[in-house]
Amino acid sequence: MNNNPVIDLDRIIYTGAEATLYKGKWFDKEVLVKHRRPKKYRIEDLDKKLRRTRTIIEGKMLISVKKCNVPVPQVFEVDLNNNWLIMKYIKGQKLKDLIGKIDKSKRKWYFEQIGKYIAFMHKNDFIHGDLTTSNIIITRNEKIFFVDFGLSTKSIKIEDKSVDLHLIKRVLRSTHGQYFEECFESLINSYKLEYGSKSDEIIDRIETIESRGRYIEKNKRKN
Amino acid sequence: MVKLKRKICLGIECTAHTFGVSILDFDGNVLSIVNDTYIPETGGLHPREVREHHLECFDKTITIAIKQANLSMKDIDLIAFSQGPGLGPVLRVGALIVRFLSQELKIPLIGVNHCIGHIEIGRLKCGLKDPLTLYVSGGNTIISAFESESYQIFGETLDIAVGNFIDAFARDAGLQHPGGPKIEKLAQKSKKYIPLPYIVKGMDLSFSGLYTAVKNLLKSKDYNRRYNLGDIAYSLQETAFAMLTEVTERALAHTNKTEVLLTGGVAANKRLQEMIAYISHEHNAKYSVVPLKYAGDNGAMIGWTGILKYKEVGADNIKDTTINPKWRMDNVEIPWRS
Ligand SMILES: Nc1ncnc2c1ncn2[C@@H]1O[C@H](COP(=O)(O)OP(=O)(O)OP(=O)(O)O)[C@@H](O)[C@H]1O
Ligand SMILES: Nc1ncnc2c1ncn2[C@@H]1O[C@H](COP(=O)(O)OP(=O)(O)OP(=O)(O)O)[C@@H](O)[C@H]1O
Ligand SMILES: [Mg+2]
Ligand SMILES: [Mg+2]
Repeated sequence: MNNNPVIDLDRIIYTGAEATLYKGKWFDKEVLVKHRRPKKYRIEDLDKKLRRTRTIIEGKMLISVKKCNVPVPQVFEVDLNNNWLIMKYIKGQKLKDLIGKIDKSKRKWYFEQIGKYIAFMHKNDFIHGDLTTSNIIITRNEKIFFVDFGLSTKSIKIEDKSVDLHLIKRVLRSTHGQYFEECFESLINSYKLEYGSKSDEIIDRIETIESRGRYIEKNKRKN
Repeated sequence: MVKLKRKICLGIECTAHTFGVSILDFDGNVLSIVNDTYIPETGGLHPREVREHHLECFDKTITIAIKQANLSMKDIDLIAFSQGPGLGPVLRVGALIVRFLSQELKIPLIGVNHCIGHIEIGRLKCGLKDPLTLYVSGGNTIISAFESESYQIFGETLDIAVGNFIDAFARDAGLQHPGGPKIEKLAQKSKKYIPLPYIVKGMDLSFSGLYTAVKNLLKSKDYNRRYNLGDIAYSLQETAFAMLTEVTERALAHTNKTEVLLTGGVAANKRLQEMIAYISHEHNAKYSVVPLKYAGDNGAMIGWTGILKYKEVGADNIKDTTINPKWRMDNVEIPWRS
């Protein structure tokens, strides 16, 4: 169903949880089209609303964070008829797939960069909302790109920034256990360096968040 | 020919409102399963009352379970019990009971993690090798999978558990505990969706905003005019379960697992089952829901996990059987899968 006259969908390059990603041609440019598929498991009202608002948010946020020097793909078009986000195609691989193939010093360097870029976002009150090693792309010439901003928000709250760091921390622990400590340490150190002393409260809050979802005595819960 | 005597385990679950007992053989055949659940008359769970309840019923519950298995106490080769996580006072009474039995009858004792029990009984009864698990109950909302030697947590609630949220709302609406099954019934009568806060953060979720919103719907002047309790129940389920399904799908795409297991008390819900089955099929993963009698807290899940551990590392020393109310599942060693 292509209602967009200027785009040719070429082929599917990836089927994510939310979206299908196509390589395509927009005018004569090689682009990536992120299509948020309808989700039949949820009711239509909710599905339509979620797909539409996330497509809008992602388009807006890609533009906003780029202005804060966070490396993200350039956005070409937000097509709300199709729920398409048309952006620059980044040739590279997911950090998730690369992390075990590089040496320790390179990993350190990447995570320092990542920490710094997250600080750029947070200093400007942008929350990514889904920081994982699947949502960071590394190019052949070692450039870092952040993608997948559909769950992002704007917030000044310590809590929200802290949850963002908690998400990347947990994915490192669960998926890349053997590199967890070195990577997270590099990330946090450079985050602190970039963010300054105001980051202390944010970092301290991570542990509180971690302990929260766990078994809380039921009489203290909302009973 | 001498027939080798099959080995038997007594599994005891005692972390919250259910005192659960089960007799199993070491091959995983469940010979009996008996629960005695404390149902509060008003309000939530009061650990002291739960403790009293369990102290009163344990003897009888164990006796019935052994009788149903056509065995006697002397046939038991191992006692497994839930060491945590759970309510401190309740765990303590459980530990007291099993230590007493173990010492009096000279039966080896082994402590297991309750959350891991939910996963292991699901793996056994659904014949799964390496599932991504959505574990949803009154106390927990966890998305987990086995990775680098332990059951890692990929996503969880940032505030209250989904079962706790539903029960709390049901109580506000004047329904008796547990509210989950009643809300499910009510929801089946409605098709009217009231928009509600939908909060996911990566693979994590939050239910407190949703709880506040549905509670406010009960207080609104529109209640029982423009919408009724059935409509709220329907909207609550559609929203909360879509959130759970979304994060499960995200974790499935992230981990590339090929099996999905739905477990915990809330797994009994048909609408949630339907949604999780849907995304599993979309990702070509095998979907399983734990059989109903093993979904909520029960002794079989504890017994089976105890057997798995015992076969690898033997029984615990009494000094290693202290309770652990906040025991994280990703800190537990899993020698039977390494
Ligand atoms: N601009 C791009 N250029 C090249 N590859 C991209 C681009 N954007 C995304 N990708 C790749 O496609 C994958 C999926 O994209 P994205 O994370 O945006 O989709 P998603 O379905 O929202 O994912 P999730 O499963 O996290 O919800 C990414 O992990 C990344 O590898
Ligand atoms: N059909 C249903 N729909 C929704 N929720 C249900 C349904 N049946 C049971 N529940 C919920 O399951 C929960 C009970 O789960 P369970 O028996 O695992 O005990 P628990 O003590 O909450 O578990 P845990 O200690 O593992 O957190 C309650 O919140 C109950 O409302
Ligand atoms: Mg993604
Ligand atoms: Mg349970």
